[in-house]
Amino acid sequence: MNRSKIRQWFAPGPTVVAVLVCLVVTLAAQTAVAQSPAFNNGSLKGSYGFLMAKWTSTSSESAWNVVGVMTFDGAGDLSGSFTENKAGSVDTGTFTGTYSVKSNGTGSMSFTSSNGGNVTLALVIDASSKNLQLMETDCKNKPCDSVNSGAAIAQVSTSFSNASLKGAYGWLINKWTPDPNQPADASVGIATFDGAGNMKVTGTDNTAGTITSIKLSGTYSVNSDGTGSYALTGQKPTKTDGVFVINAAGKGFQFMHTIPPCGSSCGNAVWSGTATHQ
Amino acid sequence: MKNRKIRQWLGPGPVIAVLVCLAVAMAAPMAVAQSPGFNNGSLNGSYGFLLAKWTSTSSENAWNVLGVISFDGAGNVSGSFTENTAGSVDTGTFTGTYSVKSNGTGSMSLTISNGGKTTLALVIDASTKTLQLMGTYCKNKPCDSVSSGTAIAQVSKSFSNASLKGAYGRLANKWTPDPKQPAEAGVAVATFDGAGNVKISGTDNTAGKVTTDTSKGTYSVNSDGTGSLDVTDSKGNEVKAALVINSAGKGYQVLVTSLPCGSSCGNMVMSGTATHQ
Repeated sequence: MNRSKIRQWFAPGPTVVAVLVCLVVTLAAQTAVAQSPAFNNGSLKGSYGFLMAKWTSTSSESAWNVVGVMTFDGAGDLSGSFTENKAGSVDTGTFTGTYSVKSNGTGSMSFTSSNGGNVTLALVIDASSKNLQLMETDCKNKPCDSVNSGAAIAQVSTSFSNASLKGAYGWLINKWTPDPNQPADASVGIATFDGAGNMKVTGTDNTAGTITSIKLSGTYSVNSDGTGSYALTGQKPTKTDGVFVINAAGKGFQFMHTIPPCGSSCGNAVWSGTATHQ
Repeated sequence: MKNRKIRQWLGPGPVIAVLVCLAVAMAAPMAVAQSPGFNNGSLNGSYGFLLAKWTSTSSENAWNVLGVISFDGAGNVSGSFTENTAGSVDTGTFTGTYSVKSNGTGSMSLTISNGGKTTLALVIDASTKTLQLMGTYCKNKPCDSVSSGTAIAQVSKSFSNASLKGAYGRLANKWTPDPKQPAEAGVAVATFDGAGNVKISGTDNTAGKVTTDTSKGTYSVNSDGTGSLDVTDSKGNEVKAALVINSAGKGYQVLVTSLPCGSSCGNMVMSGTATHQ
């Protein structure tokens, strides 16, 4: 009788089955978390702000940065717009092309820009498709003296305005130059936006070991696609203009000077950086 | 009578509730728009960091450093690092002080176990738990280089091999001021099994020559979130690297410590960042 009761208690009644099902579901969920999701072209859908730079130590190569927006349709087609700075020469354009994503999250994209150039990039998706690491893979005349790479970050929002930038953003900007006669330069600081087109910038600059304070103020303008521009003046430097692209629904932006502090005498150098909401 | 009932119904109770609700609703956006006031207490805990030297002077040694920096919330800082100076790798520790202004900018002064001293400017990005860092130390001006990089909160206090599990997207770049060095970068997916084994599939671009390959090997994570990995590709080339985990395992920064070219690699270093897919 006792044994019968014990057997009944251990029998697979509804409660035991429910607990087992719960355990199986929990274990399955944990396994799903441990494994990365399978990716495909549909993993990339929406717009990403991007910043890329040319990595080179060949002084005859032109320093180069590009900032822009690329939009994936989730089905293998992409389009976008960009602003590029080639050793101080700034131009803008658009591009259209195709992309392909493998199941492990790596992939490639090929596009033709409005200036006639054809570009191929390798990519890898991370952060649940909210971030792309990019590396250019086209090289016409090998060996090439440079490699371009950078990152694209999901914009999340689909429409932006001046109000998309509000509050304080911490930033870091670096100078890219292969010219050994150029002094090394970087700056960190705070950019404060009022959400209505006015901004202030404070920071610390290190140019070849000489540390100076930065204090600028001016205006900014955000386009509906999240790209935008800024125009700043101050005592030192006297003028700095640039472009940016907003990502993560305004939590950050990537930026690039189009008129750096040294103006037209900057030579073979470009400046770019990233900023994140404090 | 009806109006009186309505007035009673809309009496001070609901009105006050509505007013409180409105006040809260109006205060919320203002709180979002304003950044928080920062102080030394804003930095409390450990951050994985990666810094690089920016220079175009070929006589300067390429340099990257990776490690963990811990803030006590009261102005004191300590940490450990692995640095690669043009292929020469060493490790060390540091202690020092830091100071954070109310706008989130600040500075720190460090004394390093090899006897060196350095100072850094910093800015806090609270929304991403990240610090942007720039070296401000220069003995003999003009200096031919500037170092900068990022530190990302580790969040967790203790790590193990299990802290790295799943697939991570990674971009690595070669840092070199030597014009004879071929430019190089690589994107890849690194898959960790949580038990010390890693597989890396990627695409490399060396001076325009694009190759794809898969490497396999082992990794090890220390309790402070630093670690190392040792992988060999299909051609038998072995690469070793130091790493530091951030965001509770959602990402890591990596610094190559050994390449197949060994001592003939010349004046270059490689480093990168990876984020969980």
